[in-house]
Amino acid sequence: MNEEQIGTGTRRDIESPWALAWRRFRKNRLALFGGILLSLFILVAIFAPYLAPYEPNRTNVLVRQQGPSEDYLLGTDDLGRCILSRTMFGARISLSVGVVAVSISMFIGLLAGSISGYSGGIIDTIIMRIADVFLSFPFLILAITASAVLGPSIFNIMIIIGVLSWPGPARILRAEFLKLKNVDFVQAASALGAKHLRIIMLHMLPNAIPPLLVSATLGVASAILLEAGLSFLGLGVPPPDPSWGNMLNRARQLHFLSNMPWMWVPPGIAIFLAVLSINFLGDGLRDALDPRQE
Amino acid sequence: MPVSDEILLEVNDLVKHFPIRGGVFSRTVGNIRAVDGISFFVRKGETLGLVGESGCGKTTAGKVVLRLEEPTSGEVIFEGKNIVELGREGMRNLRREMQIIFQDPYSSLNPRMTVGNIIGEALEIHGLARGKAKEKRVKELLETVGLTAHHMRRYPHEFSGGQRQRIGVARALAVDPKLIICDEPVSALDVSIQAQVINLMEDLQNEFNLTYLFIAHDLSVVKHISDRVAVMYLGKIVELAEKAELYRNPIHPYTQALLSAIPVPNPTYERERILLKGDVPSPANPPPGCRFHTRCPYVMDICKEEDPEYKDWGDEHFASCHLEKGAPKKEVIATEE
Repeated sequence: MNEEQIGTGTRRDIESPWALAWRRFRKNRLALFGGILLSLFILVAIFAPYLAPYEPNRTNVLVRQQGPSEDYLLGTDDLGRCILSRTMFGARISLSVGVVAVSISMFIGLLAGSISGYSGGIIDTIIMRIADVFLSFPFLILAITASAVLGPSIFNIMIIIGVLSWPGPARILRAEFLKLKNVDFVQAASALGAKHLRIIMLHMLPNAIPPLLVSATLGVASAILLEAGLSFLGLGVPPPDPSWGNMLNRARQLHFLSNMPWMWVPPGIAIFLAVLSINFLGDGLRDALDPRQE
Repeated sequence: MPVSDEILLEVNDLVKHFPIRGGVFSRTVGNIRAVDGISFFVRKGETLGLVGESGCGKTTAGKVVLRLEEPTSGEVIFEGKNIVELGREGMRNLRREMQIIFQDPYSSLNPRMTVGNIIGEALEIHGLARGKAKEKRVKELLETVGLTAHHMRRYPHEFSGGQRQRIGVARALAVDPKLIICDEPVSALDVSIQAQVINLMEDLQNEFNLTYLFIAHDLSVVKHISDRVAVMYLGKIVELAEKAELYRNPIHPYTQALLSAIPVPNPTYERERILLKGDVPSPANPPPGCRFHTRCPYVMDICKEEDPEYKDWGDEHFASCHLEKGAPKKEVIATEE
């Protein structure tokens, strides 16, 4: 009766769409490299207290401004703090700012985008015009103003970056929803009598998640850069807590820049590698999750 | 199959216009008259074929009957109730009675749900079965449509077009509907698979006493499965009759032209082909008078001014044409193979 027989249906040979995406992702060397590198960063961030040779905030004037040595692998800064330890602890702050900020923007974007795309009409117009207002402000200037008004703290930085960057994910999700609203399986669900919430949660969101996931990954990278930028300007994570950005800020003087490269090279490379690995990962995800490829 | 006299679905003067928005404040600048006043009824247990070219509004008509699109005006009477007036809850309950099978088996199944969840969803929504009972029912349905029970844990991307369409049929059957609207269910399938799916649908109709509104653009498919056939042109039904009567004695010139386009499986058979000139006019701006007059080979002056009445020509053979005796008889179809 069947046109063709397919496997016997043991659990092993059933391939879910996510398993299919993973199989494709594995083939992408660059993405895999990004994933591994990022995992290393995350591991270092989590286990920083055990890995770091010194307290990151402990000053020691006796060893200030020392180049890399056996005791201090990456040298010390102008207050005698261990650069390696500070870079490791900086990973904690930079990565968590990235993840939390993106979570906030994804949460707002998810809510706004799905309501906007699903309901359409006047609600859609209002939400999208608000998004336009957010997009029309120059991001950095707004972030600087907000952080100057609210005062620099890790928590404020997360909120500022998160709240200011919701229009991106909201627009992506809205576009996906507009597309999905007229797809047959969504129509089939409403023909079966499914309620709005069910249609959104079971039929639309799972199919709209892949592009959002890609944008979230890339969002973490840009949030890390933003944090670094704001901290560099002295409006981000306040000293003495180390973040990659404020370590660079510390090294801003010409004297340090020209004579003590160990002060700014490690956090700079850390930012560079973290952002690069996240971007590789994001690109890999995009390719793996794209349903048009088979 | 047992066709009773009881009328299951009646559609009266159904209209669906899609507004064309334009200008600065999204003003309505015109209407696409997708469905422009159609009336028909479907008896319990019968199959009414609805045919017409692409863009004539047949799919929209099907969706409006299910209220997947809200009608602009008109009545849809299902088992004596006008469902256009039903509220959300009333409509939800009615969803168990009428279902739809879609044209494209690739877009009609959620790629991120297993087949078991796709078919079982209806049972969940209407609280018909849960847990083990649900699983059992899904297995039953899969076997009913010619698949096997172990397919339920698989995802749609692992199936072929014909198999996917069977899954779509199983989903529609899950709620035990009385009426199924089949929106070109075989147009996207290979010809060899088409026959299998059509036969399956016929078997199911006999087994569960289903009523079909069968939408298609292909008269040969419709001829096989329908009891009566309605022909749509540009948002209106131009002719509706019992199948044999329509194929033997088409009144409307458009029906005749459609019939002459059915391929005949006999290369030596000579017949007269009626070739229509031009394209279907835009439904945003349909021609005045009879909508077919721009392409009709028998056009008269009255056709350009007056819309012909849609009337009974005897024995429930409805048609709308100004010609006194309908289109002149021609040998346009191969009578029986």
